[in-house]
Amino acid sequence: MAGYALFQELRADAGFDDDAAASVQRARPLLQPRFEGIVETFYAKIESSASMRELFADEAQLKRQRGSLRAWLETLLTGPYDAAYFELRCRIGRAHVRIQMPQHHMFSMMSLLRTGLQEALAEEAARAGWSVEAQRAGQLALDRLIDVELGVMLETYREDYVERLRASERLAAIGQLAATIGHELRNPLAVIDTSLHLLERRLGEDPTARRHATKIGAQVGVCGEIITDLLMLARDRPPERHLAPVGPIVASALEGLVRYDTKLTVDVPDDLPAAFVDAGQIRQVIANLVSNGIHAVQAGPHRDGKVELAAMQVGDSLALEVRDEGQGITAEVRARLFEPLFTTRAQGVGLGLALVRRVVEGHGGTVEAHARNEGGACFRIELPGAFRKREGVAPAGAREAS
Amino acid sequence: MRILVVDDNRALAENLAEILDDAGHDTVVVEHPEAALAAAGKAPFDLMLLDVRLPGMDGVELFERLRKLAPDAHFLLMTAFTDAGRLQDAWRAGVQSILPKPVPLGHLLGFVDAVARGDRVALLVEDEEALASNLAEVLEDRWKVRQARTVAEARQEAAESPLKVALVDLRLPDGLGVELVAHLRARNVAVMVMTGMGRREAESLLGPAVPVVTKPFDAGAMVERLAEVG
Repeated sequence: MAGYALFQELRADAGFDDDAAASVQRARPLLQPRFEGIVETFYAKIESSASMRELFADEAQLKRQRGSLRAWLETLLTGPYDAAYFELRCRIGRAHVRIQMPQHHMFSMMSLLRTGLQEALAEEAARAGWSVEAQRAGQLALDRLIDVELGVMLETYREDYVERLRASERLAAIGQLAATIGHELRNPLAVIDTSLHLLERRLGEDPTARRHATKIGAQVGVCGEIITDLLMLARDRPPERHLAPVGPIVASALEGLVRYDTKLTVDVPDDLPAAFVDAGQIRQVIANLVSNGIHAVQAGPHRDGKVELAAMQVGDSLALEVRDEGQGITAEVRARLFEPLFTTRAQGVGLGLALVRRVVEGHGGTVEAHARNEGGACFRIELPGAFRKREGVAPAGAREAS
Repeated sequence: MRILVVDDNRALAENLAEILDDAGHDTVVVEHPEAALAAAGKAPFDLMLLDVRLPGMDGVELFERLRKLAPDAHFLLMTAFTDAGRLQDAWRAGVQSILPKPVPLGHLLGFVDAVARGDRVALLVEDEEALASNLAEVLEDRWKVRQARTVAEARQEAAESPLKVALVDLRLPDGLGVELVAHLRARNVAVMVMTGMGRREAESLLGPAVPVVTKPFDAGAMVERLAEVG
């Protein structure tokens, strides 16, 4: 944000000068008794719109919001319109961005408040016997102030957009780097691997030499897999779908995870049919989600909490749920959870959930996260069409492996 | 068997040559595409193993030029970083196998040995189990049979063996086998397509040159026909 200079510019553009500020402050005592009514009308409108209603988690939050709207009206008419005022307005703006309120909703809400204030001022000024000039000056000043408010709001949205753009550029740069390093490392690995093969034939029967040769071979394999994972993060590859049984995908995802002592329960029904998915990608998704769950438990209030993984069939979809008893997720974190490079962990780059979302969306599926009532978080993935009966016809989104 | 290895990573190329020579082959190593063209122009090779990333021209282009010199040779590519689009080009053009790096040596040696032994391999791609097992039984009289139920499995199997013939069901659980058929034909594999759709519909997908049999058919007679071409 360009700071206070921007606010002064907004004020100048809108024509909200010191006289206008004084007009607004004169109107304040007339308008104060009407705040309750304006807030009522405002929330009646929200209640009647499904898309606005769902921006708020529950009744309790809506009630808190009413309180903050009254405070917003109070400070709006009080001023002073200085740097501290601007800071406060920016914070409020960012809160709207964080709950991902669409810009057009923000506009219609502001216009609702503008109308409410103007109507109230017209009635109260007439009742108080204000001159026509004073009334007009008050209404004009109010309009200009709301324009300034809109300007601040737009700036917070722009600020957020620029931040996202930067994050995605950072991710692209990391991807480029990962791809280059992966390529450069695979060549020497190939040399090591072939040299080892040649060496092994000449080792004879020395068991120690053989054991170490086997170790080197296994570790070269691990390096190759790490590079493959890195490249998978870097590249936006469409899924290579095969029919694959779910149990083994889950089993291979859990192999090699750092588990600490966290309890992990796995529920994959025996009669679950084979799923038409990219097994390698889904393995990575499960590994990331379970690993996050384990970290959440480790960082949470109950170190002995458990992580549950369940796979199930819902219609023709494969649903996967990972539930943990960890620290849980706040609404703010939830809104940014799947952004690349967003992390709440002390150690972690913030690529895991971004990769999860990319893979799931590549499969035409959905992923959502919510806080559990009993504490902790739940991630749920649905991959539609994974169990669709295929009469020799490829389902939408299926393509030949490349 | 004479083998040409082309990779500008000299250490890797020499290691691969040593491994192949140990297996009883006669391997030549070059680092540059131009040197590869010169070598192939001088004396024939049975099999050529090319890196994708090479100085001057990439392995896919080199493959296309080498194949003009040696239409009967077997071609394998190897790559450290997969440019999926370029590799898809190579696969369509008839490269038999695209190996990752580090090179899976079992896969490479298996393929090379099968070529050296002159194995006659048939690929059977059919997802209906009863039909597949009957056909496999008939095919086994003349060929080593590799089986697949999906396009993806067929790609996997096809990459692991030098194929002489292939019997492909057009409709498979994960898609139509049209690209698979094009790849096999580009590899000089004799392909016969089986289909439950109408002949005309199949021909509109595949072109008139691909032999098509519509289900139901006489398995014995079809295998005879396949034996004539492959």
